[in-house]
Amino acid sequence: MILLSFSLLSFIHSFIHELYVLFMFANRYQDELWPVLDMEQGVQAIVAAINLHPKQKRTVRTGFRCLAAVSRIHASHEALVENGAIECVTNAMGKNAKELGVVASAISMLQGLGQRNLGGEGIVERGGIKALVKNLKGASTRLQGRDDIGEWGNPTVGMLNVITRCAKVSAFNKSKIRNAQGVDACIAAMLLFPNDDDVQRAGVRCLSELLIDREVVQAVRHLSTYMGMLFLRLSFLYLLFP
Amino acid sequence: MGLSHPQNLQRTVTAGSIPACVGSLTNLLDDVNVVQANLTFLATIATDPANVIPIVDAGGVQALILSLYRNPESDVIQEAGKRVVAMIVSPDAVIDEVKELQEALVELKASKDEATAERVEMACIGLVAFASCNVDIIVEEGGITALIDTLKWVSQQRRVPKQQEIMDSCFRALEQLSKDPKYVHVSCP
Repeated sequence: MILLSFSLLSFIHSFIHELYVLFMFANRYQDELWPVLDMEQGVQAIVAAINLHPKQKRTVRTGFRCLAAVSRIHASHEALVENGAIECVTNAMGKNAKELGVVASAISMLQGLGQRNLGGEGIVERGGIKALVKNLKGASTRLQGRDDIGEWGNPTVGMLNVITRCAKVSAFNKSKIRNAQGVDACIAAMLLFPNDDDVQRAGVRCLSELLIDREVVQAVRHLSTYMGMLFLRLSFLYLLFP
Repeated sequence: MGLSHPQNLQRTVTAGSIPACVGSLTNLLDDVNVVQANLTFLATIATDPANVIPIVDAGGVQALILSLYRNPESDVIQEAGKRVVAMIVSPDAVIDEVKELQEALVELKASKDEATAERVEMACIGLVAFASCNVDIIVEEGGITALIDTLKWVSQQRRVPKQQEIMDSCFRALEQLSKDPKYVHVSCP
């Protein structure tokens, strides 16, 4: 009994300590780090440095990783959008489409930015969706048979997640994404990786945001014709009749 | 009885494990398994404050900084390394590293030589390692300003030695400083 109460007390103590540490860290990062980074025009400097050296792939990759970490600070989103971080990322994704490391870091940054509505709107307005759609549609020639997907992860999942997040922001964004052939790109990605559960889940989530019911039925038929995948059919049925 | 037993730990230290461990770390920085084993060992022996000075004297800080920088993808190395940083790196060392970057940058702007460029790079790499536990000190001492100044100046130069390496290390330091707090698992003293 004594041992049990002692272990319970120590668990509560460590839990409170963890909460305290997290709280202190959260406040410190948001309150102390960002103002200095903002005052020194850190985002502008990072974006400019990447733009000045677009051919140095390692530098571009580490630069995007840096931007991805900065994009986790929500206060940074306005500066990221205004200083051309989205354009920088989409340009580099176009130029380095075969470099999985660069693409993965770029998508990580877009995912961070898409966490809030401001970033989601910025991605749609500044050509982020067009770049993602182009990348998803061209994925068949670039990603199939690549043995370094395991090292960087399949970038298709991240791209689909960014599109989903942007679609959630507003009806305007949703229609923009649909007009930019977001639905086609999503289906193409799902067809390309029929055995990748993560891609299928991300694709279903994305389609559920973008499609209206009539289109869902068509999409199910389309996918069934090609694959007859039980998982997909069930997922779409769930979407229609939750 | 494992290595965690105080007597065994002290025996290994008496037998000269610290210089051996630091030497192995320095010579095999790119061997993930070796680095992982050595950092885990250092993290264990550094729990005894009496071992901190011998680790520092044996060149442990430099080896630690480089091993963290060379193996960014290994979570085990990053976790163990950050634990060692929290135990053996003093606030004064962090302040010195920021000052070193500021001074080396001024010199590099004037000289543009290889040796000074290497000093700038090493100072940035040092901040990458120290960033996990010393964000407030780095911010207060002007470390972020120094990093951004370095990035701005170096990226705009046409001919400066180690341009790509310095930019990479600046990006990595800023990345570490900006990392989401929920991913920071090390409780700083």
